[in-house]
Amino acid sequence: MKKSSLAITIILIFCVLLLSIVWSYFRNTLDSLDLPESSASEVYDRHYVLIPEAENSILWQAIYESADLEANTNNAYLELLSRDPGSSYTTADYLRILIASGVDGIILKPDGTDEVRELINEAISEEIPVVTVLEDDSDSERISYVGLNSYQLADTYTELALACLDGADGEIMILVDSASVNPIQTLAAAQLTRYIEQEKADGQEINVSLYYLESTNDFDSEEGIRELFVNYSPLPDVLICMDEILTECAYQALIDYNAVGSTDIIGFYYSDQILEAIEKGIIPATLVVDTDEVGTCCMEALNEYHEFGHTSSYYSVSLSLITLENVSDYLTAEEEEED
Amino acid sequence: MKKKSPFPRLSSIQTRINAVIIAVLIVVLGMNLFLINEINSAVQRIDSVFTSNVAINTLSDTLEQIENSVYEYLNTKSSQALEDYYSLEQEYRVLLEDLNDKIVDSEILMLEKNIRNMSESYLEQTSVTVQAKRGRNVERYKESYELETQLFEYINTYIYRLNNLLFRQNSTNYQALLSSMHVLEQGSLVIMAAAFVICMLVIAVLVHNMIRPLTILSSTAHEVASGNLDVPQLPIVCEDEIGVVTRSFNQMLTSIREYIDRLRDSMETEAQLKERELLMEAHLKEAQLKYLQAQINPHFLFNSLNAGAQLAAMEDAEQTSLFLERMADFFRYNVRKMSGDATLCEEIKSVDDYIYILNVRYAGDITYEKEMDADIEDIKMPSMILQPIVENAVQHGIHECLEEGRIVLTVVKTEPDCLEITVQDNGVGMTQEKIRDILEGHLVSDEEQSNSTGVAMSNVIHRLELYYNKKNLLRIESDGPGCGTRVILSIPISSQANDGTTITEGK
Repeated sequence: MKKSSLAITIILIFCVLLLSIVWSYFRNTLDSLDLPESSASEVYDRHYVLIPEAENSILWQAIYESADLEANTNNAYLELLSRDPGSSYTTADYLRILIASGVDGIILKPDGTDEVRELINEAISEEIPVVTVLEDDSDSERISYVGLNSYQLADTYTELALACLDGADGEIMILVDSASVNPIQTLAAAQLTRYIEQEKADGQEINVSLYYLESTNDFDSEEGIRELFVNYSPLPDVLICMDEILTECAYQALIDYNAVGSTDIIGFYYSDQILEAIEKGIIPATLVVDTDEVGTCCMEALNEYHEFGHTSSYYSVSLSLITLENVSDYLTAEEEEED
Repeated sequence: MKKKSPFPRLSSIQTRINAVIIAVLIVVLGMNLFLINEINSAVQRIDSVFTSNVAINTLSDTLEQIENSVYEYLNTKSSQALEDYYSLEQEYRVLLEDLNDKIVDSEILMLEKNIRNMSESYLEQTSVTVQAKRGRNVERYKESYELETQLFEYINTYIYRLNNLLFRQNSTNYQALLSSMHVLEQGSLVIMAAAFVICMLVIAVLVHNMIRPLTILSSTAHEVASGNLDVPQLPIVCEDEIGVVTRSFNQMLTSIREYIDRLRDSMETEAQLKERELLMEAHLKEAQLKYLQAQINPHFLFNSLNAGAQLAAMEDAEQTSLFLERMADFFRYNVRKMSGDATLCEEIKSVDDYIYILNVRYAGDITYEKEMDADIEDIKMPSMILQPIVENAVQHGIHECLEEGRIVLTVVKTEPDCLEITVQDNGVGMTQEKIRDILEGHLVSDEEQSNSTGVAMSNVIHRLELYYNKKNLLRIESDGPGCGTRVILSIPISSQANDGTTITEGK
C-alpha cells in the first residue's frame, strides 16, 4: 500500500472512531437525562404518607426507613412528607392536604389538638386510615397507635432519675412542650411524679417539677431552655427531656452555661451529639425506642386495615437505654452507616 | 501478474476530476448533515427540558383564573364569571389529564398525583360553592369558599414545590445538555478539521496521480529534444488523454529510432562500398606503380619492342620477331588492363606470353601445360591475377630447377557457377607456416620486388577479395618441401561482382 493511501486510511479510521465516540457520548447524554415522562418508576397499589415531627431527625428518618422497607414488601409506596422550612403549615394543614389528595393511609404523631383530632376523624370518614405513632390521640378515630405506653416511659425515667440522685435530695425537672399538649408526655410526667414519690428513699427530699416550654413557633423550644438556664437558679439536679430536640438543646445549654456536673440530663432518643455527650459522661442515659419495630408496626396496621377492615388499636414497641456501657455500639453503627 | 482492479479505470481527466470533487463534496455534505441532525436533536431536547415547567405554570395560571372567576361570581354573581368558571374548569380538567395518577416511586410524579387529586377535590368544592351561591345558600357557599380557598392555597404550594423540583431537575438536564453540546462542538471542530485534511490529501494524491504521467512525459520529451533518444518506453497509467499522448509519444520515439537505424545501416553500407572502391583503387594504383617503377615508359617500351619485331621480320629473324611481338603483347596487356577488368582468356594469354618470354630467356626449360574446359574464355575476372601467381610459381617454385620445372595451368568448372583455376608447379614446395604467412600477407621479400613483374601475392589476394567481396578465394596447397605447390583459385562465374555492382573500367 502506498504511503499516501495508508495515511488517508489511518486518518479515515481515526475520524470514524472519533465520530463514533462523540456520537455515542452525545446520545448517551441525551438518553440519560432524567425527564419525568421518561422515568420508568415502579407502580404501587397503595400510597401511604408519613407526617414526621421533624423531617431530618434521626428518629423519624429511622422510622421512615423501616416503614418504607415494610411498605415495599406489600407493594405500597410510603411518602415521607416534606415540611417546607419556610412554610407555616401545621400538622392539621398537611392532614387536610392528604385528605384532599386521597392518599391510602396516614401515619403521624398527633399534637393532641382538637383540630388534628377532627381531621383524623375526617380522614377516617373519607376512608383514609390514620395510624398515630409515638404519641397517641385515643379520643380520635385513628385505627391504631404504635409506640410506647406512658407507664413504661414513666417507670424508666423514674429509675434513671433516682439513679442520678443516688439517694440524695434534689430536684427533678421534666421539660414539657406546651404546644404539643401531648397526652403521653403529660401522662408520663404525672406518672413520673407519682412514681418518684413512691420509689424515693425514706427521708429523701425530691422536688419534681414540670417546666412548660412555649413552642408555638419554630425555635421556641431552644429559646425556652436558654431562658430556663438563665432564670432558673439553682438549676435542677436532673433534667428529663422527652424528645430528642429538647435533649440536644438542653445538652448545648448545659455546656454553654457551664452547668456540666451540676445537672444531669436524661434524654430521649439519640443523635450524633447526644451519643457524643453520653460518651463524655455528660448525659448519663437516653431512652431509645426501637424504630424498626415502630416502622414495621405502622405498616402492619395499615396493611391489615386495608386487608381485613380492622387492625389492632395498639402496637407496643420496646424501649432500650443508651448509657456509657453501650454507647460505643451505637457510635460504631453510626460510623458504619455514614461510611 | 498485476491484479485487475474491480473498478473500471476512469478514462477521462474531466471524469476523474469530477469524481474527486463529487466525492469530497459528498463527504463534506454527509458530515454537515450528521452535525445538523445532532444539533437539531440537541436543540429539540433543550427545548423540551423546560416544557414541564411551562405546563405546570399553565396549570397554576388556570387554577388562579378559576379561583378568580369563582370569587368574581361570588362577588357579583355575573353570568360572565360563571361562564368563565365553567370554561376554565373544563380547561383545567384537560390540563389535569396530563398529570400522573399512578402511585410510583418518584417524588415528582407523586407530587403530580397529589396535585391532581387535590385539584379534583378543589373542583368539587368550587362546584359546591357555585351551586350554593346559585341556590343563594349564603352560609353554605361562604363555608365552602373558605375550604376551597384553603385547597387552592395547598395546591399552589404543591405546584410551587413541583415547579421547584422540576426546575432543579431540568436545570441539571440543561447543564448536562450544555456540556454535551460543548463536547459536540469540540468534536465537530476536530471532525471537520480531519475531514478537511482527508479531502486535501485525497485531492493532492489524485491530482498528483493525474499530473505525474504528464510530468514524466514532459521531462522525457525534453530529454529527447536535447538529443537523447535512449529513453525507456513510458508506462501508460491510465487510458485518459495523457495516456493517449503517452502512447503516441512512445510510437513516435520508436519510429524515430527505426528510421535512424535504417539510415545508419544505409550509411554504413555506402561507406563500406566506398571503402572497398578506395581499397581497390589503392591496390590497382599500387600494382600500376610497380609496373611504372619497372617500366619507365611502357608505351615507349612496347612500341620500341614492336619496332624491333618488325625489324626482325624484315631481317627474317622469325624467332626474334615472335619474341619481341609477344613481349610487346605482354607489356601492352599489363599497361592496358592495369585499371580494369579482363577476361579469363586475356589472363591466360598473358600467362602464355610470360611463359614464352621466360622460356626464351631461359632457353625453353620450363614445361608449361594448360588444361581448360570449353566456353570459359569470356568469363570476367580482375586483371593481373594469373600472371603474378604463375610468376610466383616460377620464381619460388621451380627457379632452382628450371630444366625440370613444370607449370600446369588447369581451368575447370567445378560447379555451374564456380570456376577453379589451378596453377601447379613441381618445384620446391613450401611449409604450411609459409603458406599461412603468404595467405595472411605477412611474407614480402625484397627479392620478389626486384625480380618479379611487381605484383605480389598479397596484392592478388586482396584484389580478389575486393572484386568478389568474398574471402578464401585463393588457397595454396603443398605436400611439403620438394613436393611442389598448387595455387588454387576459386572464382564465381559471373560477369558481375557478387555485390551487384558492375566493376567497370576506370573504377
